[in-house]
Amino acid sequence: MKLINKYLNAILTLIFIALAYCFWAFIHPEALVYQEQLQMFLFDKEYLMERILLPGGLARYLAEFCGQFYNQVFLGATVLCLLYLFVQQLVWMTAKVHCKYQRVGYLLSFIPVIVLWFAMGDENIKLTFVVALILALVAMSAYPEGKSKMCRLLYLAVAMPLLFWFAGPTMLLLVAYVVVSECIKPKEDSGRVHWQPLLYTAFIFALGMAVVPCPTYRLFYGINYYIQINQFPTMLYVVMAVCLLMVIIARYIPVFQGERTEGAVVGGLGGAVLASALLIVPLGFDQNKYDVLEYDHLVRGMKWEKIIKKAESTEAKSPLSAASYNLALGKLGLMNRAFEFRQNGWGGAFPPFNKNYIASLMTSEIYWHLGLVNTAQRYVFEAMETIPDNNKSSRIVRRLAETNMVNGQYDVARKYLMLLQKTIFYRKWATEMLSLLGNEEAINNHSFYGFIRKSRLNEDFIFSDQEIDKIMGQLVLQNPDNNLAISYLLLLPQLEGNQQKYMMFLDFVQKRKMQAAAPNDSTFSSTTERESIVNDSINDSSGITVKGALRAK
Amino acid sequence: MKTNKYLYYFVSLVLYTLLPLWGLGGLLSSCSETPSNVKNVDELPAIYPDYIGVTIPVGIAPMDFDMEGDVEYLDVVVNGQKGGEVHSNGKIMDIDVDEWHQLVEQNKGSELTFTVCAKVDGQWTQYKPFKMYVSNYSLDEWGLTYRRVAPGYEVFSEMGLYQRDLSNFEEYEIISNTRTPGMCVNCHTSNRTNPSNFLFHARGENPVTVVQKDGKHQLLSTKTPETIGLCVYPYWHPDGRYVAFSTNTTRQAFHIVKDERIEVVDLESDLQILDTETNELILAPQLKKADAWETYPAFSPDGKTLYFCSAQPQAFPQDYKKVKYSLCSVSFDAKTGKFGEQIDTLIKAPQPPKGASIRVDENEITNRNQAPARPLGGSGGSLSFPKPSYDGKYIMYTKFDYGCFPIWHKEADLYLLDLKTGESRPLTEVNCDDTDSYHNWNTNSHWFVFASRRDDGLYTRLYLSSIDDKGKATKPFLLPQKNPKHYYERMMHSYNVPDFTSEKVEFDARSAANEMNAGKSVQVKAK
Repeated sequence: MKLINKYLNAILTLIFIALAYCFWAFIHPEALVYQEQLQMFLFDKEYLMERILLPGGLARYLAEFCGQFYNQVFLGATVLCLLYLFVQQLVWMTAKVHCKYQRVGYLLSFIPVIVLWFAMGDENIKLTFVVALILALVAMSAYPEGKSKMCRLLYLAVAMPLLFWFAGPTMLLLVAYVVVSECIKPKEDSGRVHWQPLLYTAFIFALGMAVVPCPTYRLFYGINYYIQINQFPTMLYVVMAVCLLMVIIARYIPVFQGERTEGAVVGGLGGAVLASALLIVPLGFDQNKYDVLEYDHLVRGMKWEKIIKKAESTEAKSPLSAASYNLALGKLGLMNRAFEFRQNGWGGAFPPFNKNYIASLMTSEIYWHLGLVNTAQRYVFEAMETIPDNNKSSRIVRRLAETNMVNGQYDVARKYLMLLQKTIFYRKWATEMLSLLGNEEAINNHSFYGFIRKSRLNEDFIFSDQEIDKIMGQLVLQNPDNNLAISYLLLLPQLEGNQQKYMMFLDFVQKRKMQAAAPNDSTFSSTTERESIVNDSINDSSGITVKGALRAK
Repeated sequence: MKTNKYLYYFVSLVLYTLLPLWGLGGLLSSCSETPSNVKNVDELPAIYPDYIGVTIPVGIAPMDFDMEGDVEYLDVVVNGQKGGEVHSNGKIMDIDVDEWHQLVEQNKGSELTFTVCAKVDGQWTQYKPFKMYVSNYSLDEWGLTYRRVAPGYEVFSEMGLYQRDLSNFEEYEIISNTRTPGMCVNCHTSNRTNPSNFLFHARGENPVTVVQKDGKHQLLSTKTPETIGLCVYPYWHPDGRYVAFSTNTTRQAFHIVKDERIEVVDLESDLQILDTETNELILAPQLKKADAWETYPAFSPDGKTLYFCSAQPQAFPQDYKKVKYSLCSVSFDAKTGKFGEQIDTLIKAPQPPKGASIRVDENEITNRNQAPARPLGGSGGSLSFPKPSYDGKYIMYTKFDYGCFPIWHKEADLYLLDLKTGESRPLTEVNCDDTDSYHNWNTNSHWFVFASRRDDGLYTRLYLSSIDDKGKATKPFLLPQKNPKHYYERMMHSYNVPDFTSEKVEFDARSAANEMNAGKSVQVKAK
């Protein structure tokens, strides 16, 4: 018992970290994978310089360095748990100076990190905030509270601008801490520093407004704290407020007398902390959103069976989820089971384009597997451009390298691969792909890229997502072995409840298969006949009409 | 607790030693090594950018280059025919800017010889020396202006208008959309390279045209009930009062085959003139015809003629490959602000009869008016971006197979129309197999800048070339950068709408951005 008592803090910390680890590694790994694909950390000086030129740049750089480990979920969860540990320990380091009842104070130091964990259920919160918070906590813990007024003023004069530039508006946490702790100091302590930090703050933000090329509000929001750059990140300020609150509350905890009372308080509080972690944190995670992210994670990894298992176990509510399991069904040749799952019309097969990162990305996956390389490339490029904080994405750059390689555009594919060579987790793959560039035979014989190449359409027309059934027909004409295109061709009329069209397409598919098996057979009397089957409302030679083809510029 | 103390030290150590370590890394990378046991080979070095045999102006930034492959050290000696020498030795080529300027100045009208020695796999190899020519024609402009934007489709992230000092490697922001989130800034255009009069568009929730004259800017809302839409492609009248604009209903469509990506199409377009003194739009029926799409206006250097492109409307998508733009002109009187009635066709693209398939007749010479129109040479095609040289001798334009927007057409090439002889020819000295477009002249009309996709087929880069008194152009050179291979490899933006600027553009981006974000603007009226 004495031993447990001696190591109680360490044991509690370990339990907490283990819980956090399991949560991120096993319950919501897709959250980490999602974050990883919103950045492309490059090991070069320019990458650092591009970031360090803006307030919060060092925090962003370090966060993106850490964020790349999310590529491997177990590593990513470890890194995140280490950051949680830093937050908790730094809160404790600051709090313990004036904490009379350290055991309870230590337990309270977990509350900010639990609130942070809860807040990170919002997928828009970036790791930059966590690192910025750590930097601010370091500055707080180093504040020379017991030293002379001059010493404290000098410290603030140096630490505040540095913190503002390296971490961003988490500097306000240091300011709030200094002002509050100076104000609640006993009166006999001379030389309070309470209005000076506020003056410094006004000066620093005024300077920031003059030199930073972005709207003023972004200086307060944190330039890279939150993906949606125009939204005020309320929860981040809540996290900072809780950090401050716990540090201050720790000063006022009374010392409980008696071993039994202490045991009850510590045990009760410890239990409450762990229970809150277990009960409150999951409430921060919107299951519908994370379902979509999980589907995307599985599609990215081509885990088709797992997708179907997931669809079987939980009813999907989003059209993007439907698009994922329809793709999985098509890939496994099980599209006849499509109506065992919730469907969403054509939008559940081919989600229409909108300026949303995950929607564009998931739709691009469908076109990529179908062999519509240009369309996949467009969607994936658009996805990267929709990232509101202007980051690039390793996952997308990798796919762009692939689409360009399949299209024979080797120079631009090389550019992307050279960039990926500056990453940790894509370097090996990029090096392998570089050896493929220009090697037509190797690409044509590649099990996946070769098939995609063979499936591409050779005759030009304008893409229209409102006439995607005709495009599926074109794909089947191009490559009768494109079973995914056949699956979609037969699914689409069923989704719109058009039995006659379905029968017509089925007949077309059977004839096309027969013709492919015996090319000299006269199943189709002419090319025109077979094309007319799919292109029953031809407006131009390709069968694609103007509907849905034009987009605003 | 000791653990906390160590943790604190660890975090501080990691965070605050990172920067000095990077600095140290930078210092180490600039080490040098003298060539020894050199092997001579009788071949030219494979350098990027390809600066072998290019012609450069006095005052240009150092023409730094990299060797292809894994080079450990690079030793470059540059000798001037009229004297002078500069030397670079290190992991990358890095010539001192002042020494370089002195050498180039000293060798004006002469040539520089580059001797390259590279260490690969521990072995030094000296390559056959190559030459670079220093032009007699001066390039007096301070620098270039351009937009940098990802070569994307409908969505755009970070983009901006920038300016680059041509004498060194410094780039400065004019305005970027980090200041105006969600907005697109484009079409920065000055008057004959003079930045005291310039404009650009900002598109977003509150689309405006920002016009700056003599240091004061105003935001104009240019859509009126009488016009198709916003002001689009601009060109300043030389007197600085008027700006010619097209107004277009533009859409994008996306190709399905591998070698084509995007088709930018106009569904209608007209021309109009903005009077920047009254903020009125001057409209003319002859430039708002229902049976013609008029676009890409450009004034002649004397301001008396407005050149533009015009095509017969076609249905989309079935006939969009039949859209062919001709080069036309109309007179303009700046005193009255009125156009002439007569439209002349300078170069006629083959136009299909309505409802019929395209008929390309290379020898067809038809004219709507007095002057005989010349057919568009080569394989027919469409014409865009007419840019008259400021000396009045030429019009440079882009020619491509069809449509109004050459940027996504790999066959797009630069052509030069000699206004004296009426002869038009492809600029084979500068054109490549990929897109060449977005050209502009410097004020003495002996240099031009253009955007080309020749490097990797997607990301446009800026090239400069000189043109002599006989209209012959020199081999173009890529805009110099320090460590160019690395720079351009890292660059995820295309350069577009480049132009020269005689001086550095002075613009209060912060206040303009605040006004844009607040939706402030002045409504223009049609006259």
